[in-house]
Amino acid sequence: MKKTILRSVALIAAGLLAVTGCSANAKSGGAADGDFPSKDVRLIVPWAAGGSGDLTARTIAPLLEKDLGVNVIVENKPGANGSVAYNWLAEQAPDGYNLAMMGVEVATLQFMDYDIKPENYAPIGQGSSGPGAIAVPVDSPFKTLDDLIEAAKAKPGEVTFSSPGIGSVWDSPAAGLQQLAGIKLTSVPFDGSAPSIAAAASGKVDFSIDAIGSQKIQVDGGHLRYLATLTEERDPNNPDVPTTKELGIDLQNASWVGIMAPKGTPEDTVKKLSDAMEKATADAGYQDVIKSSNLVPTFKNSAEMATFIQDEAKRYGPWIDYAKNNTK
Amino acid sequence: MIPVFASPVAEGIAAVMAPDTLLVIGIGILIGMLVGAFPGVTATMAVALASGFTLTMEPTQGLAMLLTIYVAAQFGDRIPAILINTPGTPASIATTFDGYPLARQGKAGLALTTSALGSAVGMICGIVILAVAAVPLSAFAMQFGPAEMFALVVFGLTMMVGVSSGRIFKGLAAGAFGLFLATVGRDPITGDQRFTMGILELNGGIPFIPVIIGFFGLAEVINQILTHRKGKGIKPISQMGQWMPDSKLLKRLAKPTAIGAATGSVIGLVPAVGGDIAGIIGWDNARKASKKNHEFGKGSLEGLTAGDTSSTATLGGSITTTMALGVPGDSVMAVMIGSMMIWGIQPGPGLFNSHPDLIASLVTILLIATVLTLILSLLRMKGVIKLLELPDHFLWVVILVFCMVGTYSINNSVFDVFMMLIFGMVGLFMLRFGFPPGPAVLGLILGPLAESNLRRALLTDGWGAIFTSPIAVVLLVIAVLAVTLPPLRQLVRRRKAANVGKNVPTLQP
Repeated sequence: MKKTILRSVALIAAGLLAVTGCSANAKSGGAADGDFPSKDVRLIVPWAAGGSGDLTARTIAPLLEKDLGVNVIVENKPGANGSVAYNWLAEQAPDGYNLAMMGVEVATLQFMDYDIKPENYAPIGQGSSGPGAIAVPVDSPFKTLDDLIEAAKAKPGEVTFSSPGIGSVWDSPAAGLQQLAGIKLTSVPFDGSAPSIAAAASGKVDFSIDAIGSQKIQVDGGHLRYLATLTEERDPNNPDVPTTKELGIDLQNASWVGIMAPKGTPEDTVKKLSDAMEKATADAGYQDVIKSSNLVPTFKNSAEMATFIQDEAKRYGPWIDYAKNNTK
Repeated sequence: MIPVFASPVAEGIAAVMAPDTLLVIGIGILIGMLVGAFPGVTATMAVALASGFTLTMEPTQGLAMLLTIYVAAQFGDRIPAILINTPGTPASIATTFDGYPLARQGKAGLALTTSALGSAVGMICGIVILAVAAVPLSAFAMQFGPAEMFALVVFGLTMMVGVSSGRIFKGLAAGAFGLFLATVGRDPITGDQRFTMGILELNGGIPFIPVIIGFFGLAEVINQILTHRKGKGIKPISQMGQWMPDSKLLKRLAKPTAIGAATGSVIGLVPAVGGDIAGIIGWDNARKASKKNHEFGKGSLEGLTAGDTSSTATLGGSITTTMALGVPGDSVMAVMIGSMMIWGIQPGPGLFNSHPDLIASLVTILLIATVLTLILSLLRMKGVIKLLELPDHFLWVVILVFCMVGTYSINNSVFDVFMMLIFGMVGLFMLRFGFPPGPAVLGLILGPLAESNLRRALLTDGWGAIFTSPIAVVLLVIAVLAVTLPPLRQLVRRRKAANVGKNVPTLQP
């Protein structure tokens, strides 16, 4: 209780600071940029507390603090698939003091009738990724990905899979799988990854398409079995599982988490933040936390991120259209 | 890790008994009780924020901190529910049904004590289940797919009749309103917008906690302000006489406690269903079984006990499914899984083989936390009740501030505060015109679960998915009986009453 009140007070104070900060900036133009950062930085998490994106933010914040020399205040602003926070960020002053975590939704929400455009943001960098896999219940008749594809070809629409929700980072590559293999599957969207994977583990659907790391619990527990990974190379932790590419389906996908600022943030500020993030993601402590939550520590700098997000939008757009047109 | 001379169980218990772990438990209790008592701040949020600090701790200590917060919040949240009709967390919605009427009758002290005792009994039942039968029961939980969830939710929806407190038609109208509210937001299957009216925040649906704070807390305060007459009316809510239930009362409470504990333990095992629903179902089950069911909703200690026992008994079940399946039993457990993975403990089917000492540690932590929280709850009772001795106008301001700040702090969102205010007004209307809020809340919680699970079940196997599942069929039959039996029984009773003295031969002995 006390903490909440304190936080609210801190928030109001930060808000006031931001207001005065803006007016000062307006007068002095870009002159203040050289001193960045001269006050606390806010890092908004567009998801509820507790998920792996939230965890990444809370792990990286103290490391950024060490490098930038100011406090990095993490704050959750969940709602409407993250778009509440994304819209909020787009309206903030582009001075580098307001940042947000981001996921693939930055590139994909525009295809789901949300008013979120990747052009409105200046990416800082990527922090982690969670490459995907296709997994079936252990007692499934599908021994290989080919078995699955053959079954779907024989009975179009009868093979079912669970996904964390339509338009999500894992429902979309399933659309890719259907297009590449020329098959028709039935998507059963759940409310998030945990219930979606559990449904496959208990055999309620025929397979799960999700992050390798999220499926791992059920694979280790003897309920699921990997058929193929959606990676370029074989996953070092699962060297016996083939990639979809080896099996003739050139499909890769990974969930990812990064940090971004509003469009128009000065270049040297972005660079400073991006450099700080590069150091933070190389930190041994950070790597340990990310690895033990079954994700892969990954860094891409701001320029790489900008192209990457455009590429993601190009990949996901047709997938989401396909999924929308094929859901009952 | 396991020494040759000690069993894993002893090892697990010893790890908890270390002084620094006990200290962590103490801190967890304080945080949890504060969090629970503050409407809007949920146990999920507290555990999520605390998990940031516990990452660097030893796993046993970290678990002790998080689990203790979870346990203590279950006790703290009863206080505002009983005293000011505002559930501290959704788990105490059922507490308001009888707890607040009791407080109005001047029995706040007795209500708080009974509620704390009931909660402790529920908790211990849940813990025993975890200790004794975690693995086999989790196999049962695994059977709960979309079809079974849908059937369970349909059974939950029949509770609307029970929580209508006698006003069936107004109750069902309120329930339909709740179900309608539940359709706002994105379609769970196709992702299309429904009734979002161009408001971005509504894409996520009508937020549930602001609605209950508005319905219960704000509506009640404004109603009191409106009906307040200066000089008139004796201060109704202050403590009179009895603090502890006497042995006669305890005997009478044994049955609702048992019903609550059984209901909550079973419901706790179902993934993603938590104390809010279990509390309401437990309350209604006890009402059906009670000889004094007309008292329910008007200040029945039996109802209070059953609801509170049931909602805390889910905790053991939630932890069981989380640890043994790796599927979060509720939202707090979803956060907990994240933390455990960082500590290198992977919840899931393999956990009980790889960490046999862990289950002993868990059970010990939960037991210590429950007993200490119960003692603390009983000790501070007299101080808490002082709140009611505040003059009305101060109390109203305190409640209003709590409602606003609490709602804002859920998501740091002003939108949520507006929703709370709007639904406070809706709640006021319902209160003034005799529409019970219980069914509306039930509709709002269960509506999305019913819809999405039915549609998922239909996507996998059509209607066959539901009618070929034994669990689903049994639950649906129970649901039909729950609706049809009470009116039939009433009919029989009425006929019997009409026949009294007429010397009509009857089959009834």
